[in-house]
Amino acid sequence: MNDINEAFLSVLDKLDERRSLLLQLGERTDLDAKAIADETMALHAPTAERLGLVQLKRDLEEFSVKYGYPEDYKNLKKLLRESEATAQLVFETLKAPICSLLDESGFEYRFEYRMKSVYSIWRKMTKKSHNFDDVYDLFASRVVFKPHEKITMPVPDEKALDPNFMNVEKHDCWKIYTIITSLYRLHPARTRDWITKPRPSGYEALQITVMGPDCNWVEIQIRSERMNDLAENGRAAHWKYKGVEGGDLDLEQWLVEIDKKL
Amino acid sequence: MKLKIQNDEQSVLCEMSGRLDTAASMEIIAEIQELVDLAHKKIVVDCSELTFVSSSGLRQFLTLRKATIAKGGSVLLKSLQAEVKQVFAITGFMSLFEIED
Repeated sequence: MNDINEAFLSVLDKLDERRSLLLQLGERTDLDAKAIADETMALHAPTAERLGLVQLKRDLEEFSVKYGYPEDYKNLKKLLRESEATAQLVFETLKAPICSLLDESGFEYRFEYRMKSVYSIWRKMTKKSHNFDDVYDLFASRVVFKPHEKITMPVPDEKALDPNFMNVEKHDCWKIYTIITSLYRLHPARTRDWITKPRPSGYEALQITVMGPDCNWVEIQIRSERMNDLAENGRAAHWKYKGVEGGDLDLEQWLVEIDKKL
Repeated sequence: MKLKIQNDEQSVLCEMSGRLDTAASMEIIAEIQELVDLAHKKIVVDCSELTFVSSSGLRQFLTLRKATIAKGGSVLLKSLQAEVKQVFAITGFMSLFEIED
């Protein structure tokens, strides 16, 4: 077994042990639940994210709030449930004109939304000292499209992506951006271009926030199917497109360092 | 963590569901031994309900692989979820097993 495997497995087990520890917090009065939850949110959850372990990251965040801040969790869960019907209505109203223009432009796509997690809302409220009513973006929406030109996917042992394919993807992202911003007012400070410079985890998307039909800001993520696959399936998908040959020195070094910290 | 084993004439179907973490790996030792005893056949592991695998869980898969190599059988892993696929990809297990979506 090589270094990257050993370090990865050690980190993986530590993250899983932390998940188990969080689940015990409700019964273990000898432990400082808040301190453990805070540490998990600061260290363990971002580590799981970097490794593309999406569900584990969500569990670590969710359980941190649930067992570290049980009252907050209970209240937020209730408020989110109560807001769901309104959110769906807002989304459907927002969606209709966008879909009409995307259809006209010949896009093959799906436009979906999901309620944000308790953790995500809780973090926003804590960070900005907001009340629940001050948090306007209770759901995130997403356009996932098929790039216009059909270009064959590179096989796994190819080291680089086809540059033409990448250009078409980027071009389509900005085209959808133009369509959406021609219909809704763009929040000037909340555009995130993760397609020109992806996140360290490999995450790619064009994220914008627009003024929705109910005069609240709504976040929209614009992703190609490939970008969505990367976001949902993390590094495994990354290697499917870029190939794993030659290893990943950055990842290896980081794994060894993070393993010591956990 | 649950393992359901169906032994047919030519092959064995094993349905795994839940989280295969360290504790679960200890709980399924008897079932893994049952599979090892049938390792001369084709073992199909349905992983569609398997949501997580830890290092101990990976060791169970390795045990199965070694046994089938030794006894002339084979292992096919079917329908791996994203999280499990991720662990398999990073550890290089994808190339050790026959995997089907």
